[in-house]
Amino acid sequence: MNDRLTRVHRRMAMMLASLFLAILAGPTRSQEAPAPPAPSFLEVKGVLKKHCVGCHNAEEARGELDLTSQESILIGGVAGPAVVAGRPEESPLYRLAAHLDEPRMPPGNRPRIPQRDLALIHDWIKASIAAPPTPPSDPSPTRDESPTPLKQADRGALVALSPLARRTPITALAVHPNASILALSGDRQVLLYDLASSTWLGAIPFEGEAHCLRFSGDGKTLLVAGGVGAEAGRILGYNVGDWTNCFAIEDDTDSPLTADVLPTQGWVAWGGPNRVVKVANINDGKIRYTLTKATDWVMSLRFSPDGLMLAYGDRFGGLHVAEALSGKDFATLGGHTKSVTAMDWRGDSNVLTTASEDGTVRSWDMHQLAESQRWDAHPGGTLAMARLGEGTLVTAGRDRHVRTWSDDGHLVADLGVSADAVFELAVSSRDNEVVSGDWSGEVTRHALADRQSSSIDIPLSSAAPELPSLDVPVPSLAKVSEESPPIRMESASELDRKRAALHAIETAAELMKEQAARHPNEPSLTKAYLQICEAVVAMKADLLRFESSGVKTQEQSPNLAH
Amino acid sequence: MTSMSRDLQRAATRATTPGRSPRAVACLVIVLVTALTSAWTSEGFAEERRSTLEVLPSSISLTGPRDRQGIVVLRHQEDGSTRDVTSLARFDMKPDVANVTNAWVAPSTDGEGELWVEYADQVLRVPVKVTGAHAPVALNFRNDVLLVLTKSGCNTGKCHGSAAGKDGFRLSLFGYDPEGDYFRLTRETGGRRVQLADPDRSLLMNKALGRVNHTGGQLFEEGSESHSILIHWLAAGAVQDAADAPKPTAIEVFPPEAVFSSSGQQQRIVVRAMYSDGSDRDVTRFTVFVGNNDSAATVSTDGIVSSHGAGEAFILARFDQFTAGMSVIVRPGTPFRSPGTPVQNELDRLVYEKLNKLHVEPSPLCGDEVFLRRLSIDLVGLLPTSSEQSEFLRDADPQKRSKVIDRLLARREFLDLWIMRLGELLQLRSNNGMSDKGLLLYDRWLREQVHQGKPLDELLAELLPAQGSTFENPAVNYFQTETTPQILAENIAQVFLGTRIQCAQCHNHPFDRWTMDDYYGFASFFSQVGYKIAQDPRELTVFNTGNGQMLHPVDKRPVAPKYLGAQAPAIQDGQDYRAVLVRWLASEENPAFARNFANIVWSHFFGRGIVEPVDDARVSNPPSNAALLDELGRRAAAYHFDVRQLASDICNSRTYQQSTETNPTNERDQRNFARQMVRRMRAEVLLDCINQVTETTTDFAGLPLGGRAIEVPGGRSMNYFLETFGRSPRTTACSCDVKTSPTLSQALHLLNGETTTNKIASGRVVEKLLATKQPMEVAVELYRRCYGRVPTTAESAAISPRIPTDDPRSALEDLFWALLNSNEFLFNH
Repeated sequence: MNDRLTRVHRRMAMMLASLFLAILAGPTRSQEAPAPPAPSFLEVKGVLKKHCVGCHNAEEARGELDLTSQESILIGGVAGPAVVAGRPEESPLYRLAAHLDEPRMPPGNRPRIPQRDLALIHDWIKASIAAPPTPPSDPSPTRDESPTPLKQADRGALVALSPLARRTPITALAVHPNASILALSGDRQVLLYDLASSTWLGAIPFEGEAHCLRFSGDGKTLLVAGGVGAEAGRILGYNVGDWTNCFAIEDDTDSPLTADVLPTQGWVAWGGPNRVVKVANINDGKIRYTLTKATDWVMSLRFSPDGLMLAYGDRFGGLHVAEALSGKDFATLGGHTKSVTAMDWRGDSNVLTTASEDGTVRSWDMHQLAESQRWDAHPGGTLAMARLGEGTLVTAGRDRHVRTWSDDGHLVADLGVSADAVFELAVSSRDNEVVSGDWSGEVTRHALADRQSSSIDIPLSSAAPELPSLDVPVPSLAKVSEESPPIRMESASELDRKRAALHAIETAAELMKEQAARHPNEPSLTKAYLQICEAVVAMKADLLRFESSGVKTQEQSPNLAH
Repeated sequence: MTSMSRDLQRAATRATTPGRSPRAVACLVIVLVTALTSAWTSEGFAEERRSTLEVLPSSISLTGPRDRQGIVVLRHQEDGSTRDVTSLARFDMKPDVANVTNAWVAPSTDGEGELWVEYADQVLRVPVKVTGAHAPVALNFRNDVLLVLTKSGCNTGKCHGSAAGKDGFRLSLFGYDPEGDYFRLTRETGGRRVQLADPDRSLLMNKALGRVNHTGGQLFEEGSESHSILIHWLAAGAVQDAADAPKPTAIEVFPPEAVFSSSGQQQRIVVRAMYSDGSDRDVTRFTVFVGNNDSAATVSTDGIVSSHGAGEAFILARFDQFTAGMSVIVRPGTPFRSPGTPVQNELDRLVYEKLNKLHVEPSPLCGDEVFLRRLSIDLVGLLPTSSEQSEFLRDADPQKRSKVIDRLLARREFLDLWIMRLGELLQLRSNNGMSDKGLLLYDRWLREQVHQGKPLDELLAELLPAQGSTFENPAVNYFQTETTPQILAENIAQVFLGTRIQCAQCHNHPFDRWTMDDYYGFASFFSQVGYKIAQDPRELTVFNTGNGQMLHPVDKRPVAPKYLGAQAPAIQDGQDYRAVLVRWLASEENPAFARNFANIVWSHFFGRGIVEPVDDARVSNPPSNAALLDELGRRAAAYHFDVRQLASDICNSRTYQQSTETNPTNERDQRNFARQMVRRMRAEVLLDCINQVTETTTDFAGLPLGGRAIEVPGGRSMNYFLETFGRSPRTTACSCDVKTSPTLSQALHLLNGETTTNKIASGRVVEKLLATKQPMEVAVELYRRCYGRVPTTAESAAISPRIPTDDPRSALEDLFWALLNSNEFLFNH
């Protein structure tokens, strides 16, 4: 009992001490300028997330160690605090990760954390451990280059867009429901474009790729979801108009591929490669519930307009509907054989329409919970779909076409062919046009009235950044060992055999000679005799050469005496 | 050669005997002289006497700014070993169209020249041609990007190359489907995997460099060539390859063989790929190397082989869809003297040639007692009787071994053993819808055919195109055992060509040359087999439907029949595909058939094939002695697949008659037949031998009383002994169905089971012998029955005090039991 108390006391004291030390160390460090800048906890968090957080997080804390926040790292696990401030060499976090101590982490046969990541942990422990934790996401733009001030007032918090080095696949695209604003994925930014004046408004910086852009139904919010694949996901909200950030949620696992907001509840839902749909409150980021019926990547999801249902589809063709408020499973709709790429609800929330890689578009009646319509829209796969007012849909796919359909599956119009597979579509009801984005990075406006199309040129930088050299490396060579005297394998017995053979042939030749003499009228015998003679001469010469060269050394070699 | 010169002498002598045609003798003499001369020179001593220099490849063609060629400078030493002297050689390019760094030839300007390679006073010249030295670099998916993915291991079976992919991303196994891989990498999930505006931030790059969570970890370094290739290709737009982009057509491995004189040495490998546009590239750095015997030699990822200990290794080089191998021999590094073992026939010469190369000495000939027991078990599946033994041991004829081989080969039981093996190959069994009636008809048919002397090729000519009812034409039953074209084709390939093509059903074979095209082309021979149910539900009618072909699963196109590893035959309308197949199968155009046949026969006498397992010949599992296998195949074809003649050659070889005792040089060798192997008797033979020595019988279903275990038809013997000792259930065509590995239940069955104890009691052998013999004589007789020898003095001394004079029977029966339970009885040695 006493013992335990002491241990707890000691542990607390150590914690306090390290906190105290850290607080002391933090500012003094930063004042002594010459040292290289210490890594931020955000950077370290990235490393931990990559290698450790899978087993050491708030939900599953192996060894009672949670490595997701600075506080929890200081508290440590069953073996005490994970770090000793300022002393990486004494910190279990560093020692185990650097394989200086057992048990080695990550466990099993997994390789050691790369040196650069280890160095980051080391330097961070050594420098400022107790810098106040940064909020999950800074709402203000944080790009290195200072944002160019925008002249027009309505551009609010937008920054000037950075031209792209090259065209890149369009991964997300949205048009405001009643303003002529187009939002578009760019390289580490969301590009905003005014369709009416055909001018660029500016950009919202975004860490990674935006995989989903969506304006809320009331047009007040722009939802941006995406991130760095297999590393970090972000679900951000921006106020339309001043473009300030209104909410930010982080998902540690991966970049979401799809997201939607439920304005009535202030909820946001997202899903991606981890197969789970998460629904969270936008104000505090707290998860309300998760949906786990998907058996593959979640590719598309949508709240119904009445806010009562949430439909989601996966890459395997699975399509599920849940009750939006409770998260209870409502229905599973079987039919699609490949990835459900896009979906949309009819205005009355009674019909869900889905598009799929299997090429089809299907409508599902929510009262019957059955397929009510199905048609083949794009051979090879339908990739995008949007509702073009009541009664009309627009779709696009791998066949590069953009087509409009009546609700019952009759082709209304083919709006044209793009350069590559069309992955993204949005509808501007105000301007009566459809905007499509394809894999090659081409963005096209399709006017519905005259069926003319024109492309939107994404600004490209004039000089592409330099690429690394393509030198062919020179390979290394085999090392050559000391020249050892070759070991002779030819043996005297081989010589004996050859001598015996020669002797046999000589005897045969003699016999043949006699035969030939006895049968003078048989020229074939003479011929045979002569042939044997030729062979004998050749072999004799060979044997002589052999005797004079190899075998003498052989017989003298002391090595072979035994 | 010595034997040949002896023949010559004999022929010349014969010419002197009256009554012989002198002309015929003259012809014979000429033939022999010619043969002798060629044997003299090919075995020649001029060869391998002096060290020579070799430069590989023998010509160099550089066709672009990134094209390079590595060079191997090899010294063939006087003792037959090789030495990599690349790093010691001097290189001089005349004129200066290319520059050479570290034996790495890089283009400098277009033109032609010669590379002078100098080492130890020897100079060799290699022609060099350079074109496109300053052409712009254009990377392509198949020939650049895919190489990086394959070399990095992305598309192996345990990663993204598995059938279902890994973590949501699938690649074709080792890149057999470049178009599909291109699609999945670029467009499958839109822009998730690639980012063209900033290629280095693509998910592909983040994963491969281990910057983000990746199950496979970091695969290459920042700034490496692999990294640069991916960046450049993405930055250029990740464009799809043109339809006429060059494709690799073959690879060459330099050097094809290395003989290390000792451990602790190294050899560089250079791999060159040939392309459909006539160009070639050094692809060593994109080749995956795998060794098969790390205790002899290992290979690094960049293709440097290091020798570690005496033995043989095979280094497999895999590039694109091609695999090629390099054979490596590591000598013990101790002085070696060719033992000059006398050869008894050509087979021995080939075996000993290989042993000399390895510096391994063969074991001596086995004694007569051992020889007779071994031969008897192998040829008739029985132990020699006491009278056979005495007769053989008494015989003073130096040719007595050949004589007894001939005598045993002429016995019916020899063919019965062969029929049992054929029954396994053809999977004669009663399950899978085949009735017992059908099975017995089938079994009887096969027995008759073989006993009538029908060789294997003629047997197959009846079997494979068989039509009609399973009851009227028993050969039709072959098509009831397996009914799908794929499995029929797989079985034919495995059993009669010694090749497993199963992998190629779903993807190109990763360790062999078989592609899906080969697989479906071969399966197509069985695509027109039609089935009808006859009136009797046990009967089935097989007919030729005359239409239909296999569909290729990737693009659903019909695939015309194509011989495995050969051309597609011209087939007239209405011709039975199977008949076309059979015409080729055992023909001269297909030496694989004869080799496989010979290997199966060889393995019967040594417990392992020259290719082992016998039905798994592939690039990565080469024969341990290719020349020997070729020779055996040639003989098999020349003998028209007569198993007796081939068996006679093998049994007459010294190699077969070697002792199982080892010497220090061959004790570790398992593959080169430097000694005879100790082999456990097969289940059927063992039971027959137990019956023989105990003078009892076993009842087998489907056989008359007194029938032998080797004659049991079908896969289910209903006999506990046979099942326990690993009789083949014949459920698959695999040679692995026969098991001779020891198990606990085998030992327990022999110790406690009914077989030994009951048979000793019911056979009353001891009792019968005691009627005429003294107890100690009975003990000797038991030894001769079971071991084929008399007891040693030590054994006799141990036995005699334990036999009570008043009741010797039970003690002698205990001795009998002990003998039957001993390894010396269970094994053929």
